[in-house]
Amino acid sequence: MISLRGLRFRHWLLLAAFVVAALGSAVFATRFVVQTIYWSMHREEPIEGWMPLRYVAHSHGVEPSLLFDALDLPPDRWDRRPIGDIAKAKGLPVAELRVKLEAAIADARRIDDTPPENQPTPAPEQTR
Amino acid sequence: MFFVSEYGALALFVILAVNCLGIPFPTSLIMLAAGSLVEQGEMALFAVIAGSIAGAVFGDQLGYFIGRFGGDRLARPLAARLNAGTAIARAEAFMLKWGGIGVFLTRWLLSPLGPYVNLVAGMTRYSWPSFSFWDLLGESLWVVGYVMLGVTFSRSVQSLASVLGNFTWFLVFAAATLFFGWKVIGFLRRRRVAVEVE
Repeated sequence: MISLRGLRFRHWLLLAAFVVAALGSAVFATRFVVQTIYWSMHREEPIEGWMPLRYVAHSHGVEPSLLFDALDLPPDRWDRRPIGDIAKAKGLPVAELRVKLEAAIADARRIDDTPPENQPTPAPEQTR
Repeated sequence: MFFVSEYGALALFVILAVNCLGIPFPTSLIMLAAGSLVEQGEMALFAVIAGSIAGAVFGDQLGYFIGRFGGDRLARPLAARLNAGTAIARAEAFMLKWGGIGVFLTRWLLSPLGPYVNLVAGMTRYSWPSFSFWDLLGESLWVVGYVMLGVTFSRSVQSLASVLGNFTWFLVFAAATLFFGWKVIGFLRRRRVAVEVE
């Protein structure tokens, strides 16, 4: 029988360190599993201030020029400013730009998802 | 990230060197994002990898020499005055036995511990050629691994950074759990033996 009575201070300290380390392992293991599952289902990233517009476009699979348009910016290939800097330059909060970008992305999706009969009918030899 | 895409490899060099001295930066996200920029054709793969490895190794070397000279100037005289010479001798023996693998693993797998291992390696006068060899090997693995992950998952580097960050901290805590668990089992066993002898 192992009893914990009469342990020295140093031993209590080691035991406490062990418990803290085990709890930390459990917390990070859980976060890792939860995020991996979430990530495998949501590949597109929520828009954050550090992201350049081209990265947002890349992540959401839309044309970069579309997002530059949405923020009334010229579609400049070398404009690599992150959204945070664009917001500062415009004197607007990042959240407002995020809403505009999300709307632009949703619009682009809607056009892509339009049923084929509303689009010009492709020539028969091009369809399979 | 603006800094990185504007100044390229030089920015990566500076960020990684400073980070290796223990000043925290979201370096995993930066490496993954650099990989994403490579995939988008905005940065050159070779420049990203070379600049990052050079920066990381430079920062580690700085840490090692700060430990080495700081140890000789401050820690050793202080230990001598406090009669704690045996503690330093034990640390030296530990580094001699586990130094190489410790330096290697704290470059990529247990990276949050890296800056401290640099200082301890210098302080205990762990062999500089061995330190440099394991350092270069480990940092290369870390940089190439993270950049290639960034290239592969270039559309969601922020989530990936978060996932990998949690995994790294899990490994650090798991290593600590094993270490302390081993110590706890050790003293509980010694106690039982002592009780049985009585």
